[in-house]
Amino acid sequence: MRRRIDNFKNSYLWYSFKKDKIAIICLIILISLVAMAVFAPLIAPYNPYDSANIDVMNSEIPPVWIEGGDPGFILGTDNQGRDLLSTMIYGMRISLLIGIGAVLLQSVMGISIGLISGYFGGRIDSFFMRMADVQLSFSYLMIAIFFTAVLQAAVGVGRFGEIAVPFLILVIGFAQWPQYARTVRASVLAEKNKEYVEAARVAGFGAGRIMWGHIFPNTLSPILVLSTLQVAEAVMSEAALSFLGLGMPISKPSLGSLINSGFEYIFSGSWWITIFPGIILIVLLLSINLLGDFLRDVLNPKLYKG
Amino acid sequence: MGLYPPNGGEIYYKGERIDNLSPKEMLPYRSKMQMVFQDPYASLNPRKTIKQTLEEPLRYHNQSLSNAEVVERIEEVMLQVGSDPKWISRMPHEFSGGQRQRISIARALVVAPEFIVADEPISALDVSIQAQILNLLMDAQEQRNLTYLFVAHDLSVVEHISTNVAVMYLGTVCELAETSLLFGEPKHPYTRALLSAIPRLDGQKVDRVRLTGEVPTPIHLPTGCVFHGRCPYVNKRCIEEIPELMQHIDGRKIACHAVEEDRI
Repeated sequence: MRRRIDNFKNSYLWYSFKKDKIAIICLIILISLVAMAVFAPLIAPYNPYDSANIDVMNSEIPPVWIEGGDPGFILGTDNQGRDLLSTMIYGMRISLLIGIGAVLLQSVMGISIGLISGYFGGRIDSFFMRMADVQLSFSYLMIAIFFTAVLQAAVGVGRFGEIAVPFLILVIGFAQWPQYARTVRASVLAEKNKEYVEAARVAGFGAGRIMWGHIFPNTLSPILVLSTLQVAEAVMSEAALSFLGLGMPISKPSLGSLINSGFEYIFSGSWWITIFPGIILIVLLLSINLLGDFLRDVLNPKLYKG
Repeated sequence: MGLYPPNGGEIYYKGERIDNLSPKEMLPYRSKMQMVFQDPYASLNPRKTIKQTLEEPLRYHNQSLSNAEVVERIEEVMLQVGSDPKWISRMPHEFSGGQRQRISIARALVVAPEFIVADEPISALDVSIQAQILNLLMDAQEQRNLTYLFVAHDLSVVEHISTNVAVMYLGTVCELAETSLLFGEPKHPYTRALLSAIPRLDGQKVDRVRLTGEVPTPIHLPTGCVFHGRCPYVNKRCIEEIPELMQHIDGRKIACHAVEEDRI
């Protein structure tokens, strides 16, 4: 373990990270946002899911620094009288949960399919890759809207709120697996003709052992880069779906549904309900994306071999 | 080795046919036959330490070994190939080409094989390292009683290491003989041309056999003898009929109509 830490400290990744100010700032922002989301119950001033804290009389209070603001609600309240700051922190928690969950699902599916079709090739490969082409030829948003609408109609809007998180993970996860499958397949094709794979076959190892034990570790760098970008993508998809009213219900809002709920009040002067969650969403996505770009530059095998 | 299915013919190992076995039936042969590859930079998994690379095949083929025995056997082969056993926790990129090739040989030796296919194991190495690796291979042969199938294009290396030599041209065996016989008195016209092309240090003029024409593409093999287009002794039969590998009086096997008919 110590050796691993030492190795990491001597690595090119750590070296270039220390020199890249943007990456450092992004990582700090990202870590603090994730920490806020994880420790939401400790950090947020109120629990937005507890209806005892909600008073409709408090609705649409502006932020403190504007006239009429209440020091109890730093960023003001939303249309239901919830403290906006607490709701945003809890909303970010849901957004990140869906984003990471969806990416886990995507990566498990995509990596397995990519490894299998890259390693075996032939008909299996054609089958999976045509399936991926078909999947990518649809707009995933369209499919997501379709399924969410059907499910909402089937179980009713009230019950939908309870199953919304796993359902959104499933929809967004299934929609994006071809990205992983293609990336992994491309690296597998490059790796599988190298002599160390032949050596493993000469040793008599089975296909599964060669795929997961020998080839998969060598495809990790593109997967790592893709995963960071896909988390941002999934958070954005969730926000888009919620904004369209098909994601998280307003009783348990994510950042997207918070933006949506505030959108109706933006012309009546309560701009803060939309703007603050919007800013948080942008900062979150931007820091993830910039980190992903940094990783892509550093792990690019054309620039650095390791 | 079963890396690629054969296009034709049969493969025998100690009298048993092995080219039609299922992967499971092939498994007992796997630890008896190993392979050393050409490119030492591609033949070691870049994400595995040397220990992992050596340990995995050993455990796979000998599941009853205890941890202490595994470590012991790895240290033994590391010493045999002239590497320091302390290096086993390093990654392949920390080694030079010659050291990697040593580790690659260690990986082949660790499962205690009887037969090693060495696919141009020294052609990617520096000349000074080539000699070291060659000596290493010959020492290992002596100590472990190994058989090599040594693929090479460096003829002095071939003369140095082999007991029997098969000369191939366009995927066909031309001549198969004991080393001294083949190098001393080549019979097949291609072998003659090949051996006369070895550069010499003593400065004497040698009668080089100059071949005319180009190497035909292996996709469209010529009719008859594959060498007929460039052979100085060609006749009509060579163009029409594929020569078979036949036993010659002095024990060598040779595939040439001209030798068979005593024209040369």
